[in-house]
Amino acid sequence: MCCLCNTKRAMCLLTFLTCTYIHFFHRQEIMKWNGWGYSDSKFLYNKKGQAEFTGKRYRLSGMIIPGLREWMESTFSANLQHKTPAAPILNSSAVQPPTLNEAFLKELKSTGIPFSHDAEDRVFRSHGHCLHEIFALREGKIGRVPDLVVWPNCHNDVVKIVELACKHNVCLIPYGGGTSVSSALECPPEETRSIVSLDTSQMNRILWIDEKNLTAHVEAGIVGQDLERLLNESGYCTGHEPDSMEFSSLGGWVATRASGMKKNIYGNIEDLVVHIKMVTPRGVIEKSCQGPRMSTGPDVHHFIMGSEGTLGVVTEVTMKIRPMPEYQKYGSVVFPNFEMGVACLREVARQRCAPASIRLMDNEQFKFGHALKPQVSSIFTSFLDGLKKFYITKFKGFDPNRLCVATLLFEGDREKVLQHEKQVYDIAAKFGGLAAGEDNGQRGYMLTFVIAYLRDLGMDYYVIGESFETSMPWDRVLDICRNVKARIVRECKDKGVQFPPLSTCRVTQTYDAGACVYFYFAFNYRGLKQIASDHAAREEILANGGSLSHHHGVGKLRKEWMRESISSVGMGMLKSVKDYVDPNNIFGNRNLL
Amino acid sequence: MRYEVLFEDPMLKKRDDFEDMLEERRNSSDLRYALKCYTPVLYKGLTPCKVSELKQMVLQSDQLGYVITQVSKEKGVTSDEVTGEAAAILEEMAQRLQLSTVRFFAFTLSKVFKTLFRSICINEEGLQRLQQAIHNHPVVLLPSHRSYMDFLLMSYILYTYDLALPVIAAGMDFMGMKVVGEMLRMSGAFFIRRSFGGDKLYWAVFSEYVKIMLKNGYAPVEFFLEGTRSRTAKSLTPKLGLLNIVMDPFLKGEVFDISLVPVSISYERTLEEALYARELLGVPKPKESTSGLFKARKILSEDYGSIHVYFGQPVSVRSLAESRVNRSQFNLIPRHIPTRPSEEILSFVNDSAYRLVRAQEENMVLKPWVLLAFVLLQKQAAEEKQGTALDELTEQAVWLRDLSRQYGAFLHWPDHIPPSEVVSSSLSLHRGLVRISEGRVQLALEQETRGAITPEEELLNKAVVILSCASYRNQALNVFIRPALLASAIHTAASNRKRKTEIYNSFSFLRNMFSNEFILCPGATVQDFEEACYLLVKTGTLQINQQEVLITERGHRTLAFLTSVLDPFLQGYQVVCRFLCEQDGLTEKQFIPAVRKFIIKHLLTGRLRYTEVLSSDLQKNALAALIRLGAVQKIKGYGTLKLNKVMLNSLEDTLGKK
Repeated sequence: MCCLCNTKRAMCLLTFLTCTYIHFFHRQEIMKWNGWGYSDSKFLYNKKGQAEFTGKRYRLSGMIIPGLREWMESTFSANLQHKTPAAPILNSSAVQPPTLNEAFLKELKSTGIPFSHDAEDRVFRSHGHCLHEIFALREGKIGRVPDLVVWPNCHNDVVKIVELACKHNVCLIPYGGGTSVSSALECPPEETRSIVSLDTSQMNRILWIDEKNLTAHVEAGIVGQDLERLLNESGYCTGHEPDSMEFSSLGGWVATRASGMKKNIYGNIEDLVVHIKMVTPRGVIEKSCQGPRMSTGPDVHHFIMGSEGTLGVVTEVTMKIRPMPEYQKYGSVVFPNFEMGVACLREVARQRCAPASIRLMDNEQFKFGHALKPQVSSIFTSFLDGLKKFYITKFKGFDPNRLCVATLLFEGDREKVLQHEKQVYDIAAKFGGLAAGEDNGQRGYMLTFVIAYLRDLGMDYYVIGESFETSMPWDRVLDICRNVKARIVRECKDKGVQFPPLSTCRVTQTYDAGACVYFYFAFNYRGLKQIASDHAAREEILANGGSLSHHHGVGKLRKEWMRESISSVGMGMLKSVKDYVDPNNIFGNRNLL
Repeated sequence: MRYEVLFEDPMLKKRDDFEDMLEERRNSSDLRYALKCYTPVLYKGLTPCKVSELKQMVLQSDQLGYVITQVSKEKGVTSDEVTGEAAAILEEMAQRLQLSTVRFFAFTLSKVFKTLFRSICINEEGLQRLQQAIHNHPVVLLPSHRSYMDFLLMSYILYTYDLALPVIAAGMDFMGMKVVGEMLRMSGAFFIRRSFGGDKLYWAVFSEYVKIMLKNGYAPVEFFLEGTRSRTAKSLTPKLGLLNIVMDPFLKGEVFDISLVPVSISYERTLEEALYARELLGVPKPKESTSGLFKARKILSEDYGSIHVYFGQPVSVRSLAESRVNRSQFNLIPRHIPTRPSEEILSFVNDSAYRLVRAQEENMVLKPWVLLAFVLLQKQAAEEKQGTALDELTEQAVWLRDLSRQYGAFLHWPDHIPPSEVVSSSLSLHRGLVRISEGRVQLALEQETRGAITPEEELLNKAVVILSCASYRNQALNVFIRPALLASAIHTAASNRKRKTEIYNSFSFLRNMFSNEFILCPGATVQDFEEACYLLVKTGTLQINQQEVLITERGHRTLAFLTSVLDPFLQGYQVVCRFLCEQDGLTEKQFIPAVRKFIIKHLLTGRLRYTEVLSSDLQKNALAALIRLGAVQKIKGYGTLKLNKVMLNSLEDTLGKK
């Protein structure tokens, strides 16, 4: 019996099978409690020692990946004999008993809003997906976790919860998709009040679609993939596709200033949002109309976007929608080196002709992508691959250790896409770029979704990794990429990492005045006392003129650099907003400030 | 505890062994060597490019483009004209490194070096470190500068050991030597004007040229931190212009790191020995000319002993800047727009420069003769006319040998040979400077002269020998300077109860006074004081408790020696103060000739003890110090000096008490 949704467990599961999981209260039953994504999807080495991706959800699911093992062994000197398995199940006794505010609880019960203080539910909402968070979970180490989880069903439920929290001085931490990588969901260990995790997952409806104005009014708990699918059914889309869209929620996007892969056509979250409703301890904040632009003082939306759950809970959002594109086409371009690739992206941005998405992987990532190629079914494909490789490296003289690849996604009506495609390929040719096929492009984007799963495999074998992002002006892109990658290598060496780490980057977004770069690093930590963080890398970024974050947000992980990032006056401005909106720090996740 | 944190024990300084690179040259064909296969390890991030491409990169750089636009607006000429001007500057400046020229030099220098020197000793481990450094990061070579030979020698060594040949910043005066200038250009030298203060365009071309060569890893960039050859063999206070330029690419994030490699070149006998002494005494430096260089052929017949070249530990600019420089200060202005470096950067570059010069000093090899020079000069000043007995000289030299080793000197004293032989062989190498008769040694002050000479001429002749000799003694001054400052400070505190604070104040005064004279890192007074205390306590000269400093029984000899090290300088600065007190109006130009005249007068009347105060280097340093301290003020534009006589008087008095 499921005490929360008042149904039998079997029914809950049924709900999942017919709908999506996210309607489901106990997410841990279909998602890993100590790793990324769905429980049924993961990389593993099968009995033959070959890497395999399990499950049925992804294109890669059920496939053998012959090159992965060798790549992992050679890149990290990892050995399949040396395993570091994760704690298989959550040991409830490791979880501190909840600190409950009885008065709050009593009144909450009377509202009929579902809640739970089950250990698994609480632990699941106590973390995001930073390396150190997952690492601790795998070791079975549990820190401060929320004392209670509540599942409001609608805006009014949230209003009631916030009122009760204010009344009884309870700390609220909003929880959307749980995909944070900024320690934003970590419960402040110094918090003595009862901490309530406010899970927005039940607020997942599209309330209306306005086809005249091309907007949709949506509850903020909806998850990216559901939002797109539901809109698609009506022939629309938002076009907002962050890499985490399978799990991350609309409210989370607003709260962190998210960015989507196809922002070149659709814009980032701040461009997509028309109206926001947020419940704060002071009451509900929203604008009185849905005008596309207003000159009414500083835009209050900008206090909300990026507030990271410190001011209130976003409950409903009106978003722009677009008719679904008639035609989509992937593409890829191989460049002789990263410098040429960046120069090409810069030129594309200068001419303002960027496709829906354009990304540039460096050489290491290119090789990594190759290692993740699934087993080819026909001899003919592998023959073609060989031919392509020959053409690029031997005939065109590209150095396989320097070349890099850009992946492209075009969207729109067919004719325009083809025209656009030609324009971009023509620019690329000026920078020595060679078109390298749709397949490479498509695989590049697919990897985005499975790469997060790969970290769990690495962690089974002493390999840990992390990713982080930044944005910078165009003239600093190459310098930052070089210096940050080198800094990672040096830090690893200094910290006693025995083998050189994988240190790689890709340019993921282009803007008029700069770009967004995403870094990955991973290394074999065998023989190491302490696991590393990306702290030094972030210092390097800031020293070289990169930003503190392009879209991940600050959370608690990057708080220490906020003052230098936005100046003391800037801090004061944010602080005074917080002090006004939430004087008793009800939204006490202590992010940002 | 504190001492260990601040500095390492000099006794524990570990240094590499040397190999003689001439040995192979004496045993195999020079021609084959000059034509050998040369395949150096290059920078891993190198994009190979030709000399002409380099120039194009400079002319097309955003940095230069910005300045060209600026200059063309200011002067009201077209930017094409300014670009033409820039191209001409670049033409005049640029190197044309050519392997064939290097091979030619390799051949001829082999012949020359074998005639002049007994050996050229290199620490090969240092070269291995250098090779690694060249592979990993752009490299800046920073040799000490004591001779014209330095940079040819450097390239010669790098060629021999198959290391990447450097491009070298050289003074424009070399270009006057027609053929040689071009030859040097083809062996990697690029020429810079000695002064171009206000010339924006020149500065832009020059700095961009250096930066592009460095960033691209085209070649290691070599220049002399001291700016010019030290005529006194003391390290000169570092010049910051070029160091600023080469650190810039790191500070602005254009490279991950830069390795600075201090190189210490020590000559057992300097080719320019007497030349320098004359120059210091006011016989102007002969203009560098090709024919002049060939007249120096006489030199070829003499024995110049050995050369030691020590390639120091590469210093990472990144580690120097760590927690020192906030690099994000460059975030808000496009990096190609020239900006005046901030105070923070200036002081960082300055401190780094001092650290590097000290690193050079520390690895300078000292020969026994250097110690003999100390003894002989002190004896001379004490007017021991009959000279020093050989065995006494040996005893004193051995005593000094032990002392200097305790202070961390890099002394090459052959311990397997009896000290007396070491002394006599040193004396014989420097027979031009000493006279030995009846087992007694003294400086060869009474030179044979033709015809009658004035007392003044006689004095100057003597001074040539004394200053030559001093240039050897000076090689070891850096070893003794901190203890010597402390010794003088203790000496002043006359009473038996010597309070530590009083001594510290006195130390601090002296250190401040002499910071143009010696390499004393700015702002490191406390560190230097503690280092000096540590050394003197460790060697049993002093005992220091909470408040007081006590001299031990056996400490008196050491203290007496150390005070005498500083004496000539104290007297020199004192006499400069006295001279200035007696002046009414004076221009900067008149200063040196006038003070020289004043000193000669006083030396002839016997009121001054140290002939070496005639050194114009000392006089210039003293004036610079007085200007820094505010006792003298330079009036801009006129070159006149405004004198603060009250302050000068009081400085003279304070110095006199030491």
